[in-house]
Amino acid sequence: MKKDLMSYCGDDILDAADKYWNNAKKQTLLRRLTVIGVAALLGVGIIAAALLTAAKINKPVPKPPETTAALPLNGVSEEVTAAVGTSASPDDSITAADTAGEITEPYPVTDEESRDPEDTTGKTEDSEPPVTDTETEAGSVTQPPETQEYKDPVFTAAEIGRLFEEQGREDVVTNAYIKIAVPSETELKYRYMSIPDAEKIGVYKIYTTGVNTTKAEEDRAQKDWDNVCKALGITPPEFGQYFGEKYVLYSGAGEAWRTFQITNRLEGPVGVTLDGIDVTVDQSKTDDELKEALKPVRDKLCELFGADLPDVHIKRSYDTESEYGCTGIVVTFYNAEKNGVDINVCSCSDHIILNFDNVKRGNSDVLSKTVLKKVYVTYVRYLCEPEAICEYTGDARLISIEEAEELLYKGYVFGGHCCPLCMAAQEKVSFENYDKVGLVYFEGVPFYAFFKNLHSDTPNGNAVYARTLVPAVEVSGYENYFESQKEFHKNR
Amino acid sequence: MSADEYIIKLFFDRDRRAIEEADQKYGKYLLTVAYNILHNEQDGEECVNDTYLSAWNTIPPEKPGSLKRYLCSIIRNNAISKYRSQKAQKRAGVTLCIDELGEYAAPDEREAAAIREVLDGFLKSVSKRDMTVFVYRYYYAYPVEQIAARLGLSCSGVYRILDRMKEQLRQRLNKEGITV
Repeated sequence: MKKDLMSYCGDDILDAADKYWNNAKKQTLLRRLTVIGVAALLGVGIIAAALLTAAKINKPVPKPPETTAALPLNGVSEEVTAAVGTSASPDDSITAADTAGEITEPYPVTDEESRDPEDTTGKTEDSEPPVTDTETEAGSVTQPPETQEYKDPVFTAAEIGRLFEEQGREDVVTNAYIKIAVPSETELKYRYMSIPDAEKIGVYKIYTTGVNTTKAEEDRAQKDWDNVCKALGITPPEFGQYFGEKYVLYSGAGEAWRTFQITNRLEGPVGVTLDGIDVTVDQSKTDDELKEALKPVRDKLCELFGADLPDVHIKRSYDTESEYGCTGIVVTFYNAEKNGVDINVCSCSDHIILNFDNVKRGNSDVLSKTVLKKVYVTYVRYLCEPEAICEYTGDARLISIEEAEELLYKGYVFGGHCCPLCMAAQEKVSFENYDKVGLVYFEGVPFYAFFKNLHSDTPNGNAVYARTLVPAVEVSGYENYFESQKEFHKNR
Repeated sequence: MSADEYIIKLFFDRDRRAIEEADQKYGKYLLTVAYNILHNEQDGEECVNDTYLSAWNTIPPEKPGSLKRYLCSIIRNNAISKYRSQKAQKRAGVTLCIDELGEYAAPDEREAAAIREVLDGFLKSVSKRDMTVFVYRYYYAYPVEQIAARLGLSCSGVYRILDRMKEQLRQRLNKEGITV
């Protein structure tokens, strides 16, 4: 009798997967609790210090400056886009009760009920690397001084490394460099920002703060649900989650936001049509043409969600194999004024993401040369001010490109595992005579992104670049950190 | 005696509390497995009940090493069968992601062990994260969005991992002369 292939899978594999899955949830919760705890402690500390200072000099406590000078918006970095995508994580809200021991459940369960009885692991495998005393001491400078100006060094190398290790994201977990496919060097524009002609650069902290959904918000979400269903031409099903023939709808609350998602069913290039307006893009058009063409879509979505999102941001992705080169286009509608900080740094205000896909997943999928119809629409409404998500913590000295090159050639680069052993396991790439350098923000910290052309003889003719990151602000303890990583990974 | 051993003992003693205990411990877990495949609460609950009945009829003589895996295997088969039956009657609205990997009929236990070895060897050769993505998609039939959110990936990232792994697995199976 024929059985599906995975039914032959061994129990040890399934157990290992369950363990990783459970740990992923624990890590997420732990990180959030840590962030909230640290934020609370810092907040108390800062308020106490400010009150003390104000009392001493007998004048009101000064307000922090709004944000640093805006950086040019000439494309979005890979990291920032990923952050845009993940910040609206539906899982956070689907699974408010999702502390499931084994796997997630569609029904609310309590912690106690759902805990995996066999899971007694307290510590995750991806625990933090050891930090030397020296590094810990140097790390104290990360607390922004009252002047909102950092003194060098801003971070320790261990703190920078931890930014990546805690992400668990595809492009950063096991690589010190990532490979990027683009049709031409010009198209790298989606992968970096211009380097500002300035001596200082803003540094930020990215939070996910806990905000409870209010009754008014829930009512509004219900209204959105009804509006969208009507626009899609379906009778409004029960609020929350809906699996229809053509669409999957989801509305839920996260820690600091509400999300609404419209997803195509996975088989076939089914488009989303809202009140007769097709949500599609023609990938052969320029970004400016796309912006123009998408105006009716933006207006319709803004009308449905009662949002004001006049600005548009576009990012294209490419690969080396797909016949048509472009694997997808991500369009973000947002309000630059409300966002406060450049969207390349963080998307921290209400926005709508249209994720157009051009990747073959099943036999019934049809890839397109021009018009992309397979789209995931995600609306994110924040329940807090942008500053609660992306906090400006001060200006720091922007190190020169020459200084960054020195670090690059020493191998003090980031992008995942910073362990020299792991990095050596990758195909060796020399960044001598690199092709391009730009700036990217990752978790609120600026980095120089160095790009090196590897080759262009791919099946679809796209060029492949390696990209690696060097902090754009001064960092201490590189040598100790990279050495300690060797030991840490040897012992794993 | 562990909780599972106690439940299995109840099955062996033909004590009906075995089902109550199993339901208390694994009920929600089993319902999730069925729901992910069928997308219907009522059908899922029917599958859970059928699973307890199957367990009642097969333990003894079976004495599972892991009760959780044993029950999961039963409910998964039940849910997939139900799905196929619904599909034949045009009642199933969604294409089951599990079908993307194809099917295989192992003629005997030796052949089943061979394919298990290839499959397990492949999944052990990739990173734990990729393995988890693969298992949660193709064994537990989780929605891609949920996998992405839990593991901190983008949806397209999850699809890329799955596509890449499917191709690698196909090549490995071909190399071993196994066609699915």
